[in-house]
Amino acid sequence: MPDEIAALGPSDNIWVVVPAFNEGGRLVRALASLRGLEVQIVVVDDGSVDATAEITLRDPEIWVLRHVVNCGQGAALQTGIDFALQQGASIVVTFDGDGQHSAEDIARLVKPIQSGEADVVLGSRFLGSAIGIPRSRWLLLKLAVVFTRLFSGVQVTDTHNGLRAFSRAAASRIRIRLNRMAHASEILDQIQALKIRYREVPVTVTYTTHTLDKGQSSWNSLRIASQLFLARIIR
Amino acid sequence: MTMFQLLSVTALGLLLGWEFISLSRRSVRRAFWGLRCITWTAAIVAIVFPELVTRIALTVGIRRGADLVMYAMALAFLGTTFFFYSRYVRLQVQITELVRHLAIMEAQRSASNMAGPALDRGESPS
Repeated sequence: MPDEIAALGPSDNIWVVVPAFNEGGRLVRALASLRGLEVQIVVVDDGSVDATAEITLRDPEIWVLRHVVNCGQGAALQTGIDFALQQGASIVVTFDGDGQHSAEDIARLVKPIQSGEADVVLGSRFLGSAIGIPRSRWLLLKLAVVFTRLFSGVQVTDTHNGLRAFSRAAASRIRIRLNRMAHASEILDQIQALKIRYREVPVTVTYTTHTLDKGQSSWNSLRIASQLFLARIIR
Repeated sequence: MTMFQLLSVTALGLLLGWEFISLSRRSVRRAFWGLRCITWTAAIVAIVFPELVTRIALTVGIRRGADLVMYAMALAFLGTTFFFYSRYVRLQVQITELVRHLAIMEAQRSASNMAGPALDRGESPS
């Protein structure tokens, strides 16, 4: 086990929120990677019609929250964050349920919060590595970075990376209102608007045929842009 | 007055009358009530005096009264769509809050907890 992981202790009261919608086997692999870390895990089953919740409930250490209907990843994250805060979390980490993220990155992610350098830490696959990333996805994400820098004013190297960490204070202040995938841009907007101290750290994102099967289509980026635009009009 | 004018003005007149009756019966949002009354009245005027619509159309640089009505309808459609979309978004927010509340209330931690919500029993994570 790497030293950084060993640095996580129960006193840190770190909660990892894993949103899941019809993840099945992918979720099993993602949760297996988290096992052994000194963290509390909460899976938010976002109205799955497969056995996602049942699979998760086999593990007595994992909290399972179920949305009775599918609301979207943004909504699932906010549910998990609310729950973690209610339980006294001091750091909340968001971690995708499809197995793209590496549990080893969590220690690196929470470090700047523990040391008081930042309140939000964003994982960046472009500072770290994106293994097996399709060329079209790489291009789309780079365009999303330009879009975010222009419209949100947040100077990040990666957007729409689900691996992030929030201090308790930041998690309490940020409120995700965009239920679907546009929440990632909304979080960056709020970081900027609320003047929250943030940092990026390198992380590894691994693309496999399993994760790409479930992944976002490139056309979704247009939907995300339109949701963000409408959200600024409708308050 | 043609048969079409007679029938449509009667229907619109009934609608307008209903608006006034409903105003005294239930609480209505004044702005929307006023907007509806203006719409019904404008429709009556346009049907009874079509030459008036043509005159207004010429004043704003549109050649035919029918075109003015069509453009107005297109704009009204856009406005209505946006209005209902914003209502849909607000409703979605309310539903999400409800779903979230239920999810947190019924948080579970293992197969043995399937019988009931963990938080109701005052259980907290170790």
